[in-house]
Amino acid sequence: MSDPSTPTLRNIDYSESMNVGRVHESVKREKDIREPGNEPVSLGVYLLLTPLLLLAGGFFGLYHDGGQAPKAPDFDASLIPAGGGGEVDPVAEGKKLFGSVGCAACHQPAGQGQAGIYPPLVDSEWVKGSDKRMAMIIHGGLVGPITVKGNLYNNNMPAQGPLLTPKKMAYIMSFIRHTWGGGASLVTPEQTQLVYDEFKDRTAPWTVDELEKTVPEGEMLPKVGGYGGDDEQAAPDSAGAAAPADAQ
Amino acid sequence: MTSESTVVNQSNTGTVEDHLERAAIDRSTRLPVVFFLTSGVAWLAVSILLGVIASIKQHSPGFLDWDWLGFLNFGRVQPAFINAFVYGWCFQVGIAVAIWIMARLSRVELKNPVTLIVAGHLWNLGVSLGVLGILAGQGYSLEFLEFPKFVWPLLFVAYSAISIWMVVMFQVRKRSDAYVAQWYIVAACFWFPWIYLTANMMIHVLPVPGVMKSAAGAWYKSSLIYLFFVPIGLASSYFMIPKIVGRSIYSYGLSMVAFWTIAGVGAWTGLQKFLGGPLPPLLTAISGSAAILMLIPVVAIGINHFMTVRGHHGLIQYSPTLRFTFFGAIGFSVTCLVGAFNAIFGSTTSFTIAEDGFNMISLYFFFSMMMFGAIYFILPRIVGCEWLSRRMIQLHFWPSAYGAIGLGLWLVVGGIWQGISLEAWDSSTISAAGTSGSFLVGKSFIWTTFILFSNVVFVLHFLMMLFRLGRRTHEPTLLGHPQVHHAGQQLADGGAGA
Repeated sequence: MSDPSTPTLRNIDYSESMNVGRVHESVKREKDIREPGNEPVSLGVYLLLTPLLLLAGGFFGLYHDGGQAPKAPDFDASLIPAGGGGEVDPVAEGKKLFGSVGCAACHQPAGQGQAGIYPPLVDSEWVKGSDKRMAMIIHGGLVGPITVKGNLYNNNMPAQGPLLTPKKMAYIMSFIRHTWGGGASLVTPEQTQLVYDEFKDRTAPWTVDELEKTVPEGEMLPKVGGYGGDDEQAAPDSAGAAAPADAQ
Repeated sequence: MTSESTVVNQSNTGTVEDHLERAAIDRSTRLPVVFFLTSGVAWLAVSILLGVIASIKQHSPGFLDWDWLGFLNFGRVQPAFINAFVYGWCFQVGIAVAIWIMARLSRVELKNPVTLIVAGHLWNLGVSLGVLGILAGQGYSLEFLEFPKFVWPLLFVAYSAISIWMVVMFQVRKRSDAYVAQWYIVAACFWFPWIYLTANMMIHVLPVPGVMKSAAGAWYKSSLIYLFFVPIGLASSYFMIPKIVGRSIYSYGLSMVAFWTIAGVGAWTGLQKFLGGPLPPLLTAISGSAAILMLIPVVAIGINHFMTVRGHHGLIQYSPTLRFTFFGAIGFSVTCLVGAFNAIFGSTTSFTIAEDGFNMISLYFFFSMMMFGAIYFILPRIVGCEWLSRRMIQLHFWPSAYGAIGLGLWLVVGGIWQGISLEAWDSSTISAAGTSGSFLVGKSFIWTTFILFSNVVFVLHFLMMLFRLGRRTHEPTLLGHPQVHHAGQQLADGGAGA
């Protein structure tokens, strides 16, 4: 191939038999590109664009979910059950597990869920209500429609039972109920063990109908086990409760 | 603006000095343009074959299934196809067209383009190693970034060298103002290295944790389309349409609206893919809005192109360049429309074959068609003979057009269907995946019948031109015989335009 930079070859074209007249034929019939026209952008165009802006803004408004995640309340040590000095702080342990075992991926680190897709945990009636139902959902998973705080969700929560242990599940439930359930009672490993035992043969995920049939509204797990070596599932107002700070 | 004079050549196409200058510029760009076009078309041939194999393998894994061909399984051949297509064909043809348009518009001859050729070899080396690496099982897992780790510095250095050259041409341009096509090319010169470096930094060099890597990959893929393929494709249409029609662009203002919207919004797209996934909802919401805002340039550019061609639509029938370019301009609108659709209904269409549909619409329906149009214009000027056969151009255009529309619509509809069955909580994932099966068979049909066929015709035609087997005549190869007496000057221009 000829090198166009070499001066002696400069005017020789691709092959020597090239007809110079024909080389220029294509550029001869070519037209000039003129200055762009100065048509103003008409009002009609802006009117046409307005719905697009509305659509984009509407999309953002629908999905941005407040822009920032709601803040969980600070931990209140006085809510720890009586008989302090125990081994672990279930709420702090549960908080770590909540992030590390994957709950936060869907329900979000601050428990607000995602609008229309994953239900929130914060102030959810399913969190504040029966701890047995809650444990069963976590243990066995849940499919199909569920109403949370007046909104309908229809998604699929995989069973977490095989991935957790009764102890881990108890910590996670304690964290969720304590932090977002308005101080609902903590859950002990002994209690979640009961759920593991009762439903150990179950493979299908729960549906809301089934849950409601199996566990009457408000039925709680029997009070067994406890934290800090105390058998009692103590009320939050127990005097002299010392926060088991060593868990941190 | 258009002269009423019947002596078209005198009023419309400049003086003898202009002709000589144009011919000199064309001659000076010949080496790099032919180099990039040829390697681009070679990669087109390779990637179309890989694409056909990938498409068939997706529903019939038994196809070409011998032990020694194990590297052709779907998991390898699909990324090999898409990366060969993007980095082998789309990039190189885009670079060739950008170099030529930039030289013409800046009115400078490309002196001693040895850097470009070296960079071009480096680029081809990178793409070859990357594709072989993928087939050898060393690919990476993010879409459009599947090349093995060591490839990206090669491509980055090669592209930077090429873009410096184009920016230099722009800097020494003879006119102080810049034409719309030049804005886009200069922008693409800076945008691609930026997104490519950022994405690879976040993925390979200073890796971000888990989920954010997927986010970086999705951002890169979307930005690549909106900040590289869109600008280069539009540069071509802003050059070719006024060139062939012989009129000025309708509105400078509209061009500004489109350009600055793309510049401002393009890089925000991408994360809408993870709508409802484990990313902060703020990010996915912004990306989705940005994808919707990409409809603004569709309106602005659509009006601008349409009004430029207005009254000369007959030319689309005759000029191959204008026909491909106009079709590509429609492809641009469809690209952005489907992008916005996939954002709005993202919870249904993401992770389905609708994404494949978006790839094919943006890369083939829009970008490749624009580039085919530009090649039909540029190549005769570079090699000095006219396209051999009008019929071959038509056999390239129609199957490509049907294939592009068919493939895009088919995959998007199939993706919606698949997404709806994935959403049904009472049916299994396997049965949801099964619903896309018939669409995949249809996809293979379109690939082999239309896309493969039309590109075989194109590659043959291109090779003939390269070996100077074209027509030795001063008449352009048009798709039909314009009746000059019947439509007057407009069609005479059409004859002159191709």
